[in-house]
Amino acid sequence: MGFLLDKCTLRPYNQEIIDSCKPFDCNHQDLNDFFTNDVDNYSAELLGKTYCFTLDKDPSIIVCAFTISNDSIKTTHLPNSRKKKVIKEIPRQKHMRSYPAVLIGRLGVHKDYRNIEGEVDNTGKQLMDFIKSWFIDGANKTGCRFIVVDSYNEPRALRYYSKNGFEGLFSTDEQEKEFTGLPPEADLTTRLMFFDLIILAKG
Amino acid sequence: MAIAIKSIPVLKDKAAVHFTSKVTENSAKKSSVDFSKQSSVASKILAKAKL
Repeated sequence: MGFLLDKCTLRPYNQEIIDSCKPFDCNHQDLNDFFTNDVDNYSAELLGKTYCFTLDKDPSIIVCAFTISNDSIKTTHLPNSRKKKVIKEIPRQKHMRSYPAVLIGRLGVHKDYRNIEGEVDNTGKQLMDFIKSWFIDGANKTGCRFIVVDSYNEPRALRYYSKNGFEGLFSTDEQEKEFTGLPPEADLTTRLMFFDLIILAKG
Repeated sequence: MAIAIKSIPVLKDKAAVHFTSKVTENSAKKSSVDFSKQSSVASKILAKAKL
């Protein structure tokens, strides 16, 4: 059925897991730093909840982990059709729309468990399929239309999310800097990408 | 400390128009991707999970 189902178990990722497991190495300094030092703070402040899959034959090995939180995509604009209807003397009406979303803050797969022999899909793909399925599941207590990810602005990470159907929320780095309040000369270390869950049929 | 997780800013103007057009486009493709196999696996993962 798949490596994550057959050989691993989903658990909350917390200080107890960090203390009892071997170091979780995603071969990425910032990700390792986040999953070692920052997860507990995010959790304590109710800013994000982190989950992991541990290996069944050795539960001290964390195979992959991800941090998620509730968020939304809000849009406000004046469509042309609407503009024409607005009388000059009346201030322009802004249309605000909010779409429920879940934000994947961070996601990582252990460097030694990315490709498992005999598996059709790599572990990262299996993990993303699980997250997508989790949020279209009938047991999900709240509506969720989009998965948004704050991906590292690096070729490998961007390629991973693109291959899993995500696309950029902003068309250019410059546009994303403007919307996120970064000066033009600053480095854009992460990119926001989204996936629309509405296209999936859970059967 | 690692890079802070970014929150999603409000989309305006061109970004909002582009996003809204994607929403409309995707709504027309509702339930077009068969995800039943992946959903079944996810249900089993959740049944086995220690949450």
